[in-house]
Amino acid sequence: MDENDTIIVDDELVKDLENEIVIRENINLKDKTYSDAQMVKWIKEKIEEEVKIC
Amino acid sequence: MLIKSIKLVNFRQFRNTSINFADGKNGKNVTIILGDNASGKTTFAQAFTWCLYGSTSFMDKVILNKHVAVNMTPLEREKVCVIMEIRHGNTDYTLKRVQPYYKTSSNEVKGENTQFTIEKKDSTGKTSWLLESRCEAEIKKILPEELSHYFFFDGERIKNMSDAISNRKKATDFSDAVNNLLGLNALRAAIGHFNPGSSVGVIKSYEKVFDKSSNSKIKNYSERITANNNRIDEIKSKLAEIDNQERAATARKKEKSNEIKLYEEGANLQNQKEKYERMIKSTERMRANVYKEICKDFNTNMSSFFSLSLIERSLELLSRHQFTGKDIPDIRDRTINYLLKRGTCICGTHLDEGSVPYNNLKSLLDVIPPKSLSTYISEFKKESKRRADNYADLVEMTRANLNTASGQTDDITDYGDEIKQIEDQLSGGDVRAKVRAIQNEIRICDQTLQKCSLDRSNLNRELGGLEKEVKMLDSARQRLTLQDKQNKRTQIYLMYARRIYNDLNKVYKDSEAEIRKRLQDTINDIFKQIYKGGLSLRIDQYYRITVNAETYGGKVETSTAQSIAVIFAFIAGIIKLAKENRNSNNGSAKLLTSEPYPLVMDAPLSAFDERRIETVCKTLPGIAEQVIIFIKDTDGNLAEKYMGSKIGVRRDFKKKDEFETVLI
Repeated sequence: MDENDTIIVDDELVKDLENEIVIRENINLKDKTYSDAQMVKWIKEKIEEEVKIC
Repeated sequence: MLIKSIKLVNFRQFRNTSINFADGKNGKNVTIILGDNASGKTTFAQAFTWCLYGSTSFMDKVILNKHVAVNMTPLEREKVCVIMEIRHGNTDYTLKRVQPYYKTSSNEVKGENTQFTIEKKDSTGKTSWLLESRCEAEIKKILPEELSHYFFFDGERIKNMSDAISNRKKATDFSDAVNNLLGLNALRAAIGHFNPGSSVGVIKSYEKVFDKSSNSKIKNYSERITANNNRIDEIKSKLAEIDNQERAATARKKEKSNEIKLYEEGANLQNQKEKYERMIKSTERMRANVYKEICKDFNTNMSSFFSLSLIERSLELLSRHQFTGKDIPDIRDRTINYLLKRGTCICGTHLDEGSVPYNNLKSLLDVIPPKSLSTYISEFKKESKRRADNYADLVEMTRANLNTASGQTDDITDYGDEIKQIEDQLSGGDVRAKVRAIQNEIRICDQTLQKCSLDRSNLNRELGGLEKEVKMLDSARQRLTLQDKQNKRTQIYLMYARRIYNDLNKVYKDSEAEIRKRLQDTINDIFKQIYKGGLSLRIDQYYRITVNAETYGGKVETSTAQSIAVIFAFIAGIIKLAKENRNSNNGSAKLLTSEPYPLVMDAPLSAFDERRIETVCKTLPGIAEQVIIFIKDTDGNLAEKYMGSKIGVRRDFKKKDEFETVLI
């Protein structure tokens, strides 16, 4: 968030998240560890874990 | 997935045969198995797909070895079994498919359900067995059957794929193969998990968790945003549907427009054909009248015609005698009989019976009516002359009429020949009905295209308005959510989720376009190595492959060898790109990695000449991680010659008899 209380999205963090998510998806396509609902949950947890709330 | 070994037990002519395949150690990744025609190459190649998917293309569904089947006693049981050892990822798999058979009391061999088992050994050496119900799903993960066509193929499959290219259909197969094998499926899966249109997706689930009780306006905004987003999804789905409809209508219109060009000429020919048909009918009618005329003349003059020779003979006979001058005009027999009875002639001479005057007068009875011969003869002569004249007319008329009819018959034959020629060009049938049907279809396509255009325009207008409104509502909601800690947190996550979704969509589109371009370049490189000549390949956005002549610059019809070279190039191109992704240091390329796969080919070189066999043999082992080739001896010698250093395993089929082959 900036001083005007506008949400600023961290580009670097977005990039890292994207990479992690796609790698996880790729692995999951092969081992089918997670169902779709579990993947959605995993992605949300990943975002919430990485995004720091000021 | 790489194949380590396969073992066949009682699988058709293979009673107990096994082989370990070259897997790339020491740079040798080619296994070559040679065999004469009908020695079992195709059967052996089919054992792979039977083991993996339980299907074969054999007409005879009993795959039990015939010797074994014959020697079975009633109620005895035997088994067909294929065991494959493969490595996929870091896991070693042993796949075993068994088909039990039993012989009925009526000596019939019947199969039971196949049993499929999978044993897994992970990188730590831990072994586990999958539940039978999970085995098929596990194979689907390793190599879905629909993708197996790219790795296990024979002449027929190559032909089917090349037909698909020629027909420019089934391009979805190619695009699915590219997505799957080049790792784009991971991106697609991720996009699907974020998809704002999905009620269980990441974005929607964040939108659902806003604490709406904290502010009624947030609730209101959220509801409106949801409603608008639902409508946006509907519109997008309709737009995609319109795109499909438009694409289909455009393709259909093009196809029909080309078709109608062929038929337009046909319509003209059809008109000509009908003109000739009318002329034939008219000429036949005229000829029938001529025949009628001939018959009428003949009927009228028939008696004359047939009596003419008799008449001629009679006239000749009559000409020898003098019949004229003896009769007395207007004197009849009654007059003479009266005078004889009266005894006195008109001149007063007495007519005493037996006297000379009496006898002279009496002799007149022979020449006067009703017995007047000269009159009859005279009339007969007149009639004979008339009949003779009529005969001359009849012959003349008949000859003339027959000439006319003959001319008409010639005309009818000529018209028939013309019709035959036209029909040959038309290939039968009335093309105008087809032309009308095609024109109707083109009209329907035009109407569809107009409707698509109008609907798209309306939907885009609505979409623009809704997106603008959603943006506005979202900003308004964002302002409100930031006032509440919990909602603020959700808002931030939502912003990230949306950003990731948009980025992934962009990456997918860019990657897909980039991969398609790289695939096209790679395929062209390989194609040019295999099929030397001035041809190049182009892959369009729907993964339809066209072969273009470089100098001519347009599409060209592909020959069988070209099409097969295209398929080789396509498969090799995909494998090469996947391999490059795996070996790449580039982060985004790494994201698109997929497994290595073997190329199992049954008689793949039969369509090629030696020069192309050489290039295929030199190209494929350099691209694919593992190559297994079943090949007949003549092609095999060439393959051995050109793949020499890459061949790790070489075996031969030896046919013991019609029902048994061994591998030596």
